[in-house]
Amino acid sequence: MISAENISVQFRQGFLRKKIRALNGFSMSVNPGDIFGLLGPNGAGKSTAMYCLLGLIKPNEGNVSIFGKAPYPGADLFKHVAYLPEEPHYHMYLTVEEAISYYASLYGKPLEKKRLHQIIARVGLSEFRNLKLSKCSKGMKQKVGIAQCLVKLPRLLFMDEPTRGLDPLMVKDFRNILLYLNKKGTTVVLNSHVLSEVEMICNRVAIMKGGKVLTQGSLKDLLSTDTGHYEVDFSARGEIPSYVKVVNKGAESLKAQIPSTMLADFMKFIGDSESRLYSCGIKRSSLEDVFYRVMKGGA
Amino acid sequence: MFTQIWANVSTNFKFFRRNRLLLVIMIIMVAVLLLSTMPSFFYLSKTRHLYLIQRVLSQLDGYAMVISAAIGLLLITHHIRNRSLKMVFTKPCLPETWLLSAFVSTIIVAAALYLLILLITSVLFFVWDIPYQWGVVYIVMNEFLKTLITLAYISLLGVIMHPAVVVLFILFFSDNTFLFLKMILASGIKESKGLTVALLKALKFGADAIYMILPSFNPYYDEKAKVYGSLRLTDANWKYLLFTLCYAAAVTMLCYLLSTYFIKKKRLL
Repeated sequence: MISAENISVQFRQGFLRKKIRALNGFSMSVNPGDIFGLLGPNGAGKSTAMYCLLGLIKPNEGNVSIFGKAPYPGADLFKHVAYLPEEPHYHMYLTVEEAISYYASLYGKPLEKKRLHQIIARVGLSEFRNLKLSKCSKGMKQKVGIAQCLVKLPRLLFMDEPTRGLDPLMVKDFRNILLYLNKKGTTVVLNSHVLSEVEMICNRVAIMKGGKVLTQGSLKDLLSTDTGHYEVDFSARGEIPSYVKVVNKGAESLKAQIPSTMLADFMKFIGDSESRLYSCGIKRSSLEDVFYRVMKGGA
Repeated sequence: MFTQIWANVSTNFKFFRRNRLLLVIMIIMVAVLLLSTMPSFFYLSKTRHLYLIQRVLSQLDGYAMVISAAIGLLLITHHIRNRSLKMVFTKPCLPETWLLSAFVSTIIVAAALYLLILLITSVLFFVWDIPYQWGVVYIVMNEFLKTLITLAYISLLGVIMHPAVVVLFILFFSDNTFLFLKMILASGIKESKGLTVALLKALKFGADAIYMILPSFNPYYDEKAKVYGSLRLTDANWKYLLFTLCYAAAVTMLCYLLSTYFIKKKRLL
């Protein structure tokens, strides 16, 4: 559905027109039905990558294709695409209702009033529908952005930091909307800093740094990477074996890691020393663990 | 495409209506017009009244041009600078369509302003019981075409430059400036000798080239000046109005195409 191959993007900035490489051999692919998360620290090139996918930036090198076609501003393929920008760069002089109606009309068919009001109600802006966007709060603008993505069922939805500025209730509602759209067949590509959110909704992720993708794949595969050790919580009596790596020393117990291969020995130590074992389990990697590991250099 | 053009045009009208800067410009202009003409409304002679109509017409024409140019410039630069165009171009709406809508919106406003001017002057003829001078229609049409040229040129500059730079550019880089420069250089060449002549000739060549490139904001002025003086249609030469129409259409088309080219080159992020 989306493929980006070896994309490089260079900007020139400042008085001396200094070269800045925003993307450096960026490659990714998104399959139909995915909820794809693009992760990375600030300045990793996530937004630039999204602009390339949307055809708003022409890469210096490499190819981008959406539905098998190269994207460019206003291309016909956008009939099936919706986009929520990171910053609320909307038509601020319009009211909430006018803005959503205008963006819907750009798809070539004006939106019926009833449907328009339904969408506005869906994002909880009914009582603010006549408020100018310039007077709206950041969260309200974000809701307008989400609403304009719902004017038709898109085949592909791009979202840049979608939950930025939203209240916790709306964040939950937004997740439901996203999962509903995905169930209906919408493929989603989103950028986010909120790893827990990505972990909750995405099925595939790519982690970026320095303008390139360091790792990408299904979330299941990335998270199931065996950490190779057990996490144990016990109160020790006697000398602790050398293979036990103490993580946290409490008043009553020790939290430690032991290599998977030493589990039997550790159980024997507990029995022999008459220590008490409170818990023992394999720690499943969180996306945060994977993210930090990848950032530190291990894929 | 028609739905998109209509959606853009109606949105642009909302922009004009809600833009406070435009409102202030219009209020100031109406106030200046009223203050400057109010005393003359108490004159009694018909000759004075005709002179007054001429003055009002000329002032209103000038204001209509400034307002039209301002809305053209504001519309383009506002949308480019506040980056809202990425919301448009990530929908199936081409930059060509958006720019066409912008041109259409400003041309409609300009046409409405000139119709209003025609109406105001016609009412004045009626109120003061002066035989209607059809030269007014000719003048208003000519002024509208002049505004079209300015609008198209300023819209093109608005795509490329900051609005403040556009205003400075249009003030200093007008065809009149270069015509004046050409004349000064020509007389300089006549008076000078040796190396200075070569230098002045090179400068004149540059001035000639720029003069050729810049659009003329008042084409065939000399051929139409008589109507402006008398307001009589018998003094009007329709051939030159037709030429002006063709020139305005060509400039508008060229500026539209160039604007499309430059807006595509721009990073609208």
